[in-house]
Amino acid sequence: MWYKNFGNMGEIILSTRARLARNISGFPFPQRADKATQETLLNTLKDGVLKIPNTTFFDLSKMSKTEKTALCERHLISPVMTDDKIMRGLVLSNDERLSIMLLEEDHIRIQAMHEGLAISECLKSAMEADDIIESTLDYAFSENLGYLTCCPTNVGTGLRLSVMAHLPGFTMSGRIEGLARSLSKMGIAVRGLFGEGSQSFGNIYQISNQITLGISEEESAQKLTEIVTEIISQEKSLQQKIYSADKFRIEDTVLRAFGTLKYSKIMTTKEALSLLSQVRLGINLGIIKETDHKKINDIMYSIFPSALSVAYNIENPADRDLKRAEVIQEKLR
Amino acid sequence: MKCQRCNEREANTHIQKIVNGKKTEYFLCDKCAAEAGEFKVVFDTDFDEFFGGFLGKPMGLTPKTSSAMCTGCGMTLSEFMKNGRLGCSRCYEDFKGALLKPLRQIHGEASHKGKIPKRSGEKISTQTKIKKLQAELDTAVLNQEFEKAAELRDKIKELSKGGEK
Ligand SMILES: [Zn+2]
Ligand SMILES: [Zn+2]
Repeated sequence: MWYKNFGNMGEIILSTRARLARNISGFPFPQRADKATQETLLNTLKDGVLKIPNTTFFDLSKMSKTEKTALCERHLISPVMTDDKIMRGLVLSNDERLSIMLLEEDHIRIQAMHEGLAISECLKSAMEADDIIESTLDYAFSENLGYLTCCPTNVGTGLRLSVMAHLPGFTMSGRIEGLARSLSKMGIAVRGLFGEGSQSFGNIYQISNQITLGISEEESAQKLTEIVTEIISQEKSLQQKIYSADKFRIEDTVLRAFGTLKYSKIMTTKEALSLLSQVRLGINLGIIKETDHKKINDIMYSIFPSALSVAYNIENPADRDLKRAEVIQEKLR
Repeated sequence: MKCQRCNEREANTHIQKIVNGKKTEYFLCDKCAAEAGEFKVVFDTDFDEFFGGFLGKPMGLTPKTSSAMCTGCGMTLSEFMKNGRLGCSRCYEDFKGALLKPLRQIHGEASHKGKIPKRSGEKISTQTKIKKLQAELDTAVLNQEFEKAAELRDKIKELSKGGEK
Protein backbone atom coordinates (compact mmCIF):
# COMPACT_ATOMS: atom_id res chain seq x y z
CA MET A 1 0.00 0.00 0.00
CA TRP A 2 0.94 3.64 -0.55
CA TYR A 3 2.10 4.32 3.02
CA LYS A 4 5.06 2.02 2.58
CA ASN A 5 6.31 4.03 -0.40
CA PHE A 6 9.19 6.47 -0.27
CA GLY A 7 7.88 9.90 -1.32
CA ASN A 8 9.12 13.45 -1.79
CA MET A 9 11.57 14.23 1.08
CA GLY A 10 10.92 10.68 2.27
CA GLU A 11 14.17 10.62 4.24
CA ILE A 12 12.48 12.98 6.75
CA ILE A 13 8.76 13.10 5.91
CA LEU A 14 7.01 9.73 5.95
CA SER A 15 3.56 10.90 4.92
CA THR A 16 1.13 13.80 4.59
CA ARG A 17 -2.57 14.04 5.37
CA ALA A 18 -5.36 16.56 4.76
CA ARG A 19 -8.52 16.24 6.81
CA LEU A 20 -11.80 18.09 6.29
CA ALA A 21 -14.52 18.09 8.97
CA ARG A 22 -18.08 18.40 7.62
CA ASN A 23 -21.62 18.14 8.97
CA ILE A 24 -24.90 18.12 7.13
CA SER A 25 -27.61 20.56 8.14
CA GLY A 26 -30.81 19.56 9.90
CA PHE A 27 -29.29 16.80 12.03
CA PRO A 28 -27.65 16.85 15.47
CA PHE A 29 -23.94 15.95 15.64
CA PRO A 30 -23.32 12.17 16.04
CA GLN A 31 -22.90 11.98 19.83
CA ARG A 32 -26.15 13.93 20.28
CA ALA A 33 -28.15 11.75 17.87
CA ASP A 34 -30.28 8.81 19.05
CA LYS A 35 -29.91 5.35 17.46
CA ALA A 36 -32.70 5.89 14.91
CA THR A 37 -31.23 9.23 13.82
CA GLN A 38 -27.77 7.66 13.61
CA GLU A 39 -29.14 5.02 11.28
CA THR A 40 -30.86 7.60 9.05
CA LEU A 41 -27.71 9.69 9.07
CA LEU A 42 -25.44 6.78 8.23
CA ASN A 43 -27.60 5.79 5.24
CA THR A 44 -27.91 9.36 3.98
CA LEU A 45 -24.18 10.02 4.31
CA LYS A 46 -23.23 6.69 2.78
CA ASP A 47 -25.29 7.38 -0.36
CA GLY A 48 -23.72 10.81 -0.79
CA VAL A 49 -20.14 9.77 -0.10
CA LEU A 50 -20.25 6.65 -2.29
CA LYS A 51 -20.66 8.97 -5.30
CA ILE A 52 -16.87 9.24 -5.13
CA PRO A 53 -15.52 6.76 -7.71
CA ASN A 54 -13.60 3.60 -6.70
CA THR A 55 -14.73 3.56 -3.09
CA THR A 56 -16.16 0.90 -0.80
CA PHE A 57 -18.34 1.22 2.30
CA PHE A 58 -17.53 -0.61 5.55
CA ASP A 59 -19.93 -0.92 8.47
CA LEU A 60 -17.59 -0.66 11.46
CA SER A 61 -20.09 -2.28 13.83
CA LYS A 62 -19.51 -5.51 11.88
CA MET A 63 -15.75 -5.42 12.48
CA SER A 64 -13.83 -6.73 15.49
CA LYS A 65 -12.03 -4.36 17.83
CA THR A 66 -8.65 -5.70 16.62
CA GLU A 67 -9.52 -5.15 12.96
CA LYS A 68 -10.60 -1.61 13.76
CA THR A 69 -7.43 -0.93 15.77
CA ALA A 70 -5.37 -2.17 12.82
CA LEU A 71 -7.12 0.43 10.62
CA CYS A 72 -6.29 2.98 13.30
CA GLU A 73 -2.58 2.04 13.26
CA ARG A 74 -2.57 2.85 9.57
CA HIS A 75 -4.32 6.15 10.37
CA LEU A 76 -7.28 5.20 8.20
CA ILE A 77 -9.64 5.80 11.11
CA SER A 78 -9.26 7.67 14.40
CA PRO A 79 -9.32 6.01 17.84
CA VAL A 80 -12.92 7.06 18.62
CA MET A 81 -14.06 5.08 15.57
CA THR A 82 -13.02 1.84 17.29
CA ASP A 83 -15.66 2.10 20.04
CA ASP A 84 -19.23 0.79 19.79
CA LYS A 85 -21.01 3.78 21.28
CA ILE A 86 -22.20 5.14 17.94
CA MET A 87 -22.98 3.44 14.60
CA ARG A 88 -19.97 4.25 12.50
CA GLY A 89 -19.08 3.83 8.87
CA LEU A 90 -16.00 4.09 6.70
CA VAL A 91 -15.78 4.78 2.99
CA LEU A 92 -12.36 3.81 1.71
CA SER A 93 -10.92 4.29 -1.76
CA ASN A 94 -9.43 1.16 -3.30
CA ASP A 95 -5.90 2.55 -3.09
CA GLU A 96 -6.50 3.57 0.58
CA ARG A 97 -5.39 7.12 -0.16
CA LEU A 98 -8.83 8.48 0.61
CA SER A 99 -10.59 7.54 3.81
CA ILE A 100 -13.93 9.07 4.77
CA MET A 101 -15.13 8.49 8.30
CA LEU A 102 -18.88 8.61 8.83
CA LEU A 103 -20.28 9.54 12.25
CA GLU A 104 -16.95 10.22 13.86
CA GLU A 105 -17.16 13.32 16.04
CA ASP A 106 -18.54 15.09 12.97
CA HIS A 107 -20.91 13.56 10.42
CA ILE A 108 -18.16 13.40 7.82
CA ARG A 109 -14.39 13.48 8.07
CA ILE A 110 -12.62 13.35 4.74
CA GLN A 111 -8.98 12.30 4.84
CA ALA A 112 -6.63 12.37 1.85
CA MET A 113 -3.20 10.83 2.35
CA HIS A 114 0.05 10.62 0.44
CA GLU A 115 3.57 9.34 1.02
CA GLY A 116 6.30 11.91 1.63
CA LEU A 117 5.74 15.68 1.64
CA ALA A 118 2.65 16.37 -0.48
CA ILE A 119 0.57 19.04 1.26
CA SER A 120 -1.04 20.65 -1.78
CA GLU A 121 -1.72 17.26 -3.42
CA CYS A 122 -3.55 16.05 -0.30
CA LEU A 123 -5.52 19.28 -0.01
CA LYS A 124 -6.52 19.02 -3.66
CA SER A 125 -7.82 15.48 -3.42
CA ALA A 126 -9.67 16.17 -0.15
CA MET A 127 -11.31 19.20 -1.80
CA GLU A 128 -12.31 17.14 -4.84
CA ALA A 129 -13.93 14.53 -2.62
CA ASP A 130 -15.67 17.37 -0.78
CA ASP A 131 -17.04 18.77 -4.07
CA ILE A 132 -18.57 15.40 -4.95
CA ILE A 133 -20.12 14.99 -1.49
CA GLU A 134 -21.60 18.47 -1.43
CA SER A 135 -23.20 17.96 -4.83
CA THR A 136 -25.87 15.84 -3.12
CA LEU A 137 -25.65 16.72 0.60
CA ASP A 138 -26.38 20.07 2.27
CA TYR A 139 -23.60 21.11 4.61
CA ALA A 140 -24.05 22.98 7.88
CA PHE A 141 -22.38 26.26 7.04
CA SER A 142 -22.45 29.79 8.35
CA GLU A 143 -21.30 32.92 6.61
CA ASN A 144 -19.14 34.07 9.51
CA LEU A 145 -18.00 30.80 11.00
CA GLY A 146 -17.69 28.68 7.86
CA TYR A 147 -18.21 24.92 8.19
CA LEU A 148 -19.85 24.22 11.54
CA THR A 149 -18.14 21.44 13.46
CA CYS A 150 -18.82 19.57 16.68
CA CYS A 151 -15.71 20.95 18.35
CA PRO A 152 -15.10 24.71 17.96
CA THR A 153 -11.39 24.01 17.43
CA ASN A 154 -12.25 22.92 13.86
CA VAL A 155 -14.83 25.51 12.84
CA GLY A 156 -14.09 27.56 9.71
CA THR A 157 -12.35 25.53 7.05
CA GLY A 158 -12.55 22.31 9.11
CA LEU A 159 -9.14 21.62 7.62
CA ARG A 160 -6.29 19.97 9.42
CA LEU A 161 -3.12 19.43 7.40
CA SER A 162 -0.43 17.28 8.92
CA VAL A 163 2.85 15.62 8.10
CA MET A 164 4.43 12.66 9.84
CA ALA A 165 8.08 13.59 10.29
CA HIS A 166 11.07 11.61 11.53
CA LEU A 167 13.19 14.06 13.53
CA PRO A 168 16.07 12.31 15.32
CA GLY A 169 18.30 15.36 14.83
CA PHE A 170 15.95 17.70 16.72
CA THR A 171 15.31 15.06 19.38
CA MET A 172 18.91 13.99 20.03
CA SER A 173 20.14 17.57 20.16
CA GLY A 174 17.41 18.44 22.67
CA ARG A 175 15.75 20.94 20.39
CA ILE A 176 12.38 19.32 19.84
CA GLU A 177 10.65 21.08 22.75
CA GLY A 178 12.00 24.44 21.63
CA LEU A 179 10.73 23.73 18.12
CA ALA A 180 7.29 22.81 19.45
CA ARG A 181 7.19 25.93 21.58
CA SER A 182 8.14 28.33 18.82
CA LEU A 183 5.79 26.70 16.30
CA SER A 184 2.86 26.83 18.70
CA LYS A 185 3.16 30.61 18.61
CA MET A 186 2.42 30.34 14.89
CA GLY A 187 -0.56 28.06 15.39
CA ILE A 188 1.33 24.91 14.43
CA ALA A 189 1.41 21.88 16.72
CA VAL A 190 4.22 19.31 16.99
CA ARG A 191 3.42 16.11 18.82
CA GLY A 192 5.13 12.77 19.30
CA LEU A 193 3.30 10.12 17.33
CA PHE A 194 4.06 7.01 19.36
CA GLY A 195 4.48 6.88 23.08
CA GLU A 196 3.53 5.94 26.57
CA GLY A 197 2.79 8.49 29.26
CA SER A 198 4.63 11.70 28.56
CA GLN A 199 7.53 9.78 27.03
CA SER A 200 7.46 9.59 23.25
CA PHE A 201 9.63 7.24 21.23
CA GLY A 202 10.59 6.44 17.68
CA ASN A 203 11.40 10.14 17.02
CA ILE A 204 8.34 10.42 14.81
CA TYR A 205 6.25 13.54 15.15
CA GLN A 206 3.07 14.92 13.70
CA ILE A 207 3.26 18.55 12.61
CA SER A 208 -0.11 20.17 11.93
CA ASN A 209 -1.98 23.45 11.66
CA GLN A 210 -4.32 24.34 14.54
CA ILE A 211 -6.00 27.43 13.17
CA THR A 212 -9.04 26.95 10.93
CA LEU A 213 -10.85 30.26 11.19
CA GLY A 214 -9.82 33.48 9.46
CA ILE A 215 -7.46 31.63 7.13
CA SER A 216 -8.17 30.07 3.73
CA GLU A 217 -7.32 26.47 2.84
CA GLU A 218 -4.64 27.58 0.39
CA GLU A 219 -3.06 29.90 2.95
CA SER A 220 -2.97 27.08 5.51
CA ALA A 221 -1.30 24.80 2.97
CA GLN A 222 1.22 27.42 1.96
CA LYS A 223 2.11 28.27 5.54
CA LEU A 224 2.58 24.64 6.58
CA THR A 225 4.63 23.87 3.46
CA GLU A 226 6.99 26.75 4.24
CA ILE A 227 7.40 25.70 7.85
CA VAL A 228 7.89 22.01 7.06
CA THR A 229 10.43 22.82 4.33
CA GLU A 230 12.43 24.80 6.88
CA ILE A 231 12.18 22.00 9.45
CA ILE A 232 13.47 19.49 6.87
CA SER A 233 16.54 21.56 6.08
CA GLN A 234 17.30 22.13 9.76
CA GLU A 235 16.79 18.44 10.53
CA LYS A 236 19.19 17.43 7.76
CA SER A 237 21.90 19.73 9.02
CA LEU A 238 21.33 18.64 12.64
CA GLN A 239 21.79 15.00 11.60
CA GLN A 240 25.08 15.88 9.93
CA LYS A 241 26.20 17.92 12.93
CA ILE A 242 25.47 15.12 15.38
CA TYR A 243 27.42 12.72 13.16
CA SER A 244 30.48 14.88 12.74
CA ALA A 245 30.55 15.75 16.46
CA ASP A 246 30.87 12.13 17.54
CA LYS A 247 31.42 10.00 14.44
CA PHE A 248 32.32 6.62 15.93
CA ARG A 249 29.68 6.74 18.64
CA ILE A 250 26.93 7.45 16.08
CA GLU A 251 28.22 4.67 13.83
CA ASP A 252 28.32 2.34 16.80
CA THR A 253 24.78 3.21 17.95
CA VAL A 254 23.29 2.93 14.51
CA LEU A 255 25.01 -0.35 13.62
CA ARG A 256 24.13 -1.90 16.97
CA ALA A 257 20.50 -0.96 16.35
CA PHE A 258 20.65 -2.64 12.95
CA GLY A 259 22.31 -5.71 14.49
CA THR A 260 19.68 -5.96 17.21
CA LEU A 261 16.86 -5.79 14.68
CA LYS A 262 18.51 -8.51 12.62
CA TYR A 263 19.38 -10.92 15.41
CA SER A 264 16.95 -10.71 18.31
CA LYS A 265 14.30 -13.18 19.36
CA ILE A 266 11.87 -11.01 21.37
CA MET A 267 10.96 -7.49 20.31
CA THR A 268 8.41 -5.04 21.77
CA THR A 269 6.78 -2.36 19.61
CA LYS A 270 8.53 0.33 21.60
CA GLU A 271 12.00 -1.17 21.18
CA ALA A 272 11.40 -1.85 17.49
CA LEU A 273 10.31 1.74 16.80
CA SER A 274 13.35 3.15 18.60
CA LEU A 275 15.74 0.85 16.73
CA LEU A 276 14.06 1.57 13.38
CA SER A 277 14.59 5.26 14.05
CA GLN A 278 18.34 4.66 14.54
CA VAL A 279 18.48 2.67 11.34
CA ARG A 280 16.70 5.45 9.42
CA LEU A 281 19.33 7.86 10.71
CA GLY A 282 22.05 5.40 9.66
CA ILE A 283 20.60 5.27 6.13
CA ASN A 284 20.50 9.07 5.90
CA LEU A 285 24.12 9.36 7.05
CA GLY A 286 25.29 6.69 4.62
CA ILE A 287 26.36 4.35 7.43
CA ILE A 288 23.84 1.64 6.54
CA LYS A 289 23.66 0.74 2.87
CA GLU A 290 22.09 -2.73 3.00
CA THR A 291 18.55 -1.47 3.46
CA ASP A 292 16.46 1.58 2.58
CA HIS A 293 13.61 3.77 3.88
CA LYS A 294 11.00 1.92 1.87
CA LYS A 295 11.88 -1.32 3.61
CA ILE A 296 11.87 0.41 7.00
CA ASN A 297 8.38 1.83 6.27
CA ASP A 298 7.21 -1.65 5.35
CA ILE A 299 8.59 -3.06 8.61
CA MET A 300 7.12 -0.25 10.71
CA TYR A 301 3.59 -0.77 9.43
CA SER A 302 3.87 -4.55 9.76
CA ILE A 303 4.85 -4.68 13.43
CA PHE A 304 2.19 -2.63 15.20
CA PRO A 305 0.31 -4.79 17.73
CA SER A 306 -3.02 -5.03 15.89
CA ALA A 307 -1.40 -5.34 12.47
CA LEU A 308 0.40 -8.46 13.77
CA SER A 309 -2.74 -9.75 15.48
CA VAL A 310 -4.73 -9.47 12.26
CA ALA A 311 -2.03 -10.88 9.99
CA TYR A 312 -1.06 -13.86 12.17
CA ASN A 313 -4.11 -14.30 14.37
CA ILE A 314 -2.15 -13.73 17.60
CA GLU A 315 -3.78 -12.04 20.57
CA ASN A 316 -1.20 -12.69 23.31
CA PRO A 317 1.33 -9.81 23.63
CA ALA A 318 4.21 -12.18 24.50
CA ASP A 319 3.60 -14.27 21.36
CA ARG A 320 3.36 -11.05 19.40
CA ASP A 321 6.81 -9.97 20.61
CA LEU A 322 8.24 -13.26 19.30
CA LYS A 323 6.44 -12.88 15.99
CA ARG A 324 7.56 -9.26 15.69
CA ALA A 325 11.24 -10.23 15.97
CA GLU A 326 10.70 -12.96 13.37
CA VAL A 327 8.91 -10.65 10.92
CA ILE A 328 11.62 -8.00 11.19
CA GLN A 329 14.36 -10.56 10.55
CA GLU A 330 12.60 -11.96 7.52
CA LYS A 331 12.12 -8.52 6.04
CA LEU A 332 15.73 -7.48 6.69
CA ARG A 333 17.20 -10.68 5.26
CA MET B 1 -6.25 25.73 43.09
CA LYS B 2 -8.14 22.82 41.51
CA CYS B 3 -7.07 21.27 38.18
CA GLN B 4 -8.88 23.01 35.34
CA ARG B 5 -9.49 19.80 33.44
CA CYS B 6 -10.80 17.29 35.97
CA ASN B 7 -11.81 19.81 38.63
CA GLU B 8 -10.95 17.16 41.22
CA ARG B 9 -7.26 17.06 42.07
CA GLU B 10 -4.98 19.89 43.09
CA ALA B 11 -3.33 21.66 40.14
CA ASN B 12 0.47 21.65 40.18
CA THR B 13 1.44 21.90 36.52
CA HIS B 14 1.26 24.99 34.40
CA ILE B 15 0.71 24.71 30.62
CA GLN B 16 0.85 27.62 28.23
CA LYS B 17 -0.53 27.65 24.74
CA ILE B 18 -0.01 30.56 22.44
CA VAL B 19 -2.06 31.03 19.31
CA ASN B 20 -1.74 34.11 17.14
CA GLY B 21 0.23 35.84 19.83
CA LYS B 22 -2.49 35.36 22.44
CA LYS B 23 -1.57 33.38 25.50
CA THR B 24 -3.87 30.86 27.16
CA GLU B 25 -2.84 29.28 30.45
CA TYR B 26 -3.99 26.08 32.01
CA PHE B 27 -3.37 24.76 35.49
CA LEU B 28 -3.49 20.99 35.65
CA CYS B 29 -2.95 18.15 38.10
CA ASP B 30 -0.16 15.59 37.52
CA LYS B 31 -2.51 13.03 36.05
CA CYS B 32 -4.16 15.37 33.52
CA ALA B 33 -0.80 16.89 32.62
CA ALA B 34 0.55 13.39 31.92
CA GLU B 35 -2.49 12.66 29.78
CA ALA B 36 -1.83 15.83 27.85
CA GLY B 37 1.41 14.21 26.83
CA GLU B 38 0.06 10.69 26.45
CA PHE B 39 0.34 9.58 22.90
CA LYS B 40 -0.15 5.92 21.86
CA VAL B 41 -0.88 6.49 18.17
CA VAL B 42 -1.74 10.15 18.19
CA PHE B 43 -4.47 11.45 15.96
CA ASP B 44 -5.62 14.95 15.09
CA THR B 45 -8.60 14.69 17.37
CA ASP B 46 -6.46 14.23 20.47
CA PHE B 47 -5.71 17.91 20.44
CA ASP B 48 -9.40 18.71 20.34
CA GLU B 49 -10.18 16.14 22.99
CA PHE B 50 -7.69 17.57 25.37
CA PHE B 51 -8.00 21.26 24.81
CA GLY B 52 -11.66 21.09 23.86
CA GLY B 53 -12.24 19.49 27.22
CA PHE B 54 -11.96 22.68 29.14
CA LEU B 55 -12.74 25.21 26.49
CA GLY B 56 -15.51 26.54 28.66
CA LYS B 57 -13.22 27.41 31.53
CA PRO B 58 -11.28 30.34 30.10
CA MET B 59 -14.53 31.96 29.00
CA GLY B 60 -15.18 32.95 32.57
CA LEU B 61 -18.83 31.92 32.36
CA THR B 62 -20.88 32.04 35.51
CA PRO B 63 -23.37 29.27 36.34
CA LYS B 64 -26.17 31.77 35.69
CA THR B 65 -25.27 32.36 32.05
CA SER B 66 -24.50 28.68 31.49
CA SER B 67 -28.13 27.58 31.98
CA ALA B 68 -28.76 28.77 28.39
CA MET B 69 -30.09 25.99 26.15
CA CYS B 70 -29.86 25.28 22.42
CA THR B 71 -33.25 25.41 20.70
CA GLY B 72 -32.07 22.84 18.15
CA CYS B 73 -30.78 19.95 20.27
CA GLY B 74 -31.49 20.92 23.86
CA MET B 75 -27.85 21.03 24.90
CA THR B 76 -27.12 23.42 27.75
CA LEU B 77 -24.17 25.75 27.86
CA SER B 78 -22.86 24.07 31.00
CA GLU B 79 -22.87 20.71 29.19
CA PHE B 80 -20.77 22.28 26.47
CA MET B 81 -18.40 23.75 29.03
CA LYS B 82 -17.92 20.29 30.48
CA ASN B 83 -16.88 18.43 27.32
CA GLY B 84 -16.12 21.18 24.80
CA ARG B 85 -18.43 19.62 22.19
CA LEU B 86 -21.51 21.22 20.67
CA GLY B 87 -24.69 19.26 20.04
CA CYS B 88 -25.76 20.59 16.64
CA SER B 89 -25.05 23.40 14.21
CA ARG B 90 -27.82 25.48 15.82
CA CYS B 91 -25.72 25.62 19.02
CA TYR B 92 -23.39 28.07 17.29
CA GLU B 93 -26.29 30.49 16.86
CA ASP B 94 -27.78 30.00 20.32
CA PHE B 95 -24.46 30.13 22.21
CA LYS B 96 -23.07 32.85 19.99
CA GLY B 97 -22.17 35.28 22.76
CA ALA B 98 -20.46 32.66 24.87
CA LEU B 99 -18.50 31.17 21.96
CA LEU B 100 -16.99 34.37 20.66
CA LYS B 101 -14.21 34.62 23.22
CA PRO B 102 -12.98 31.00 23.12
CA LEU B 103 -13.11 31.06 19.31
CA ARG B 104 -10.83 34.08 19.37
CA GLN B 105 -8.56 32.29 21.80
CA ILE B 106 -8.18 29.30 19.53
CA HIS B 107 -8.15 30.94 16.15
CA GLY B 108 -7.33 34.58 16.70
CA GLU B 109 -9.37 36.23 13.98
CA ALA B 110 -12.99 35.13 14.00
CA SER B 111 -14.43 35.20 10.48
CA HIS B 112 -14.44 32.48 7.79
CA LYS B 113 -12.10 33.04 4.86
CA GLY B 114 -12.13 29.59 3.23
CA LYS B 115 -14.22 27.51 0.85
CA ILE B 116 -17.94 28.17 0.44
CA PRO B 117 -20.16 25.19 -0.41
CA LYS B 118 -22.07 25.68 -3.66
CA ARG B 119 -25.45 24.44 -2.42
CA SER B 120 -25.73 25.68 1.16
CA GLY B 121 -23.66 28.67 0.19
CA GLU B 122 -26.24 30.14 -2.19
CA LYS B 123 -27.63 32.46 0.40
CA ILE B 124 -24.20 33.75 1.33
CA SER B 125 -23.94 37.47 0.78
CA THR B 126 -22.04 38.94 -2.12
CA GLN B 127 -19.86 40.76 0.38
CA THR B 128 -18.49 37.49 1.79
CA LYS B 129 -17.91 36.09 -1.68
CA ILE B 130 -15.94 39.19 -2.60
CA LYS B 131 -13.92 38.94 0.60
CA LYS B 132 -13.04 35.35 -0.22
CA LEU B 133 -12.09 36.17 -3.81
CA GLN B 134 -10.00 39.07 -2.56
CA ALA B 135 -8.04 36.66 -0.34
CA GLU B 136 -7.50 34.33 -3.29
CA LEU B 137 -6.38 37.29 -5.37
CA ASP B 138 -3.82 38.29 -2.74
CA THR B 139 -2.40 34.78 -2.74
CA ALA B 140 -2.30 34.69 -6.54
CA VAL B 141 -0.42 37.99 -6.70
CA LEU B 142 1.96 36.77 -4.02
CA ASN B 143 2.66 33.63 -6.06
CA GLN B 144 2.97 35.71 -9.23
CA GLU B 145 0.12 33.81 -10.87
CA PHE B 146 -0.95 36.80 -12.93
CA GLU B 147 -3.39 35.04 -15.23
CA LYS B 148 -5.30 33.67 -12.26
CA ALA B 149 -5.17 37.10 -10.61
CA ALA B 150 -6.70 38.77 -13.66
CA GLU B 151 -9.52 36.22 -13.71
CA LEU B 152 -10.21 36.80 -10.03
CA ARG B 153 -10.21 40.57 -10.53
CA ASP B 154 -12.86 40.21 -13.24
CA LYS B 155 -14.98 38.05 -10.97
CA ILE B 156 -14.76 40.57 -8.15
CA LYS B 157 -15.74 43.39 -10.52
CA GLU B 158 -18.74 41.44 -11.75
CA LEU B 159 -19.91 40.60 -8.24
CA SER B 160 -19.58 44.18 -6.99
CA LYS B 161 -21.65 45.38 -9.98
CA GLY B 162 -24.36 42.81 -9.29
CA GLY B 163 -24.46 43.79 -5.64
CA GLU B 164 -25.28 47.41 -6.49
CA LYS B 165 -28.43 46.52 -8.40
ZN1 LIG C 1 -6.81 16.95 36.62
ZN1 LIG D 1 -27.64 22.47 19.48
